Amino acid sequence: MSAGMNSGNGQDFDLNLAPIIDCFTVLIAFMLVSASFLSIGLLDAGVAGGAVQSDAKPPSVDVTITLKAGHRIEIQTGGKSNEKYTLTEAKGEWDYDTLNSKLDNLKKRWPDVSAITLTAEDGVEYQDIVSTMEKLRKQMPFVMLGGF
Amino acid sequence: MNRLFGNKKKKKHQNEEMGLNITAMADIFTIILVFLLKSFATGALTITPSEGSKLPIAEAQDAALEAIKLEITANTVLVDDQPVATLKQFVPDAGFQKGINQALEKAKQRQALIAQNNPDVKVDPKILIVADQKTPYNTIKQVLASAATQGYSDFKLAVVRKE
Repeated sequence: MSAGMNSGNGQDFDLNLAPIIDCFTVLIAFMLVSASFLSIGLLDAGVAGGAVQSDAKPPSVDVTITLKAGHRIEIQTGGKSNEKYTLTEAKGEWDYDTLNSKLDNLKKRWPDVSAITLTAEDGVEYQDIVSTMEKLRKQMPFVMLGGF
Repeated sequence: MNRLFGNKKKKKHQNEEMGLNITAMADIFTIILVFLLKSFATGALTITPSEGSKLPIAEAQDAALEAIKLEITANTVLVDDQPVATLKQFVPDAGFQKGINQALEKAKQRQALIAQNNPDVKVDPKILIVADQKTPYNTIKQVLASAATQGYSDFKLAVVRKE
């Protein structure tokens, strides 16, 4: 009986952590090397004058926004409304607030406008184009690049 | 005598070995591994800009995409990681568009050949643009115009997501 009580029937065992630590070290090293800490997103951009859906009714007004040197923004409409506005810089930056309010007014007057053509002067940086596209997308679903 | 001055010969041999507490290390490694596995699983789109290139920052959707990659750095234009044209601080050289046109034409032909033999594959007009944030619009225009003439009209601009 005593032999049975002291026999090796116990299920307790000491877990050998050393191989587990080895596996973890290798996995962590692999993950760190392959990890990308940059979160990359994608912005859709079409080309103005490119493939157009033939069944889509053309909007009543075409809106073109041009980014110019000195943080000036020019808004030009064509079609049923021919207007031109030039927005000057706001504290050394692009005046997106005024641009948004102008677009709001345009949308109220012409609710079927859903696309904008964005173009820029040659020296305008890509970051400015992308930032403007990001702002415009909040107002209009389709932003196309123009000036080709 | 020995009791008065202490037995200097019989120094207690101090055990200088320090036992490493592996349990705590296993806990830390588990937490680090879980964190890295999580970020590894959610990063479906693997775009690595070239050294020295900084992508523009914007709010954008995270989307997995398989498309031909066209990268613009300060001194090179690369199509699928192969240099096809040179720039001088973002200013195009002569013959700049010719190199891009040739590379994109080859890629288009390759796609068309695959599509001919595999009905599940279609010729894809998508192209991924990875450009440095300081690239002037003049260079971007020329690159996009070349891509559009080769049938790539669905541009996806790669940006660093604004948190």
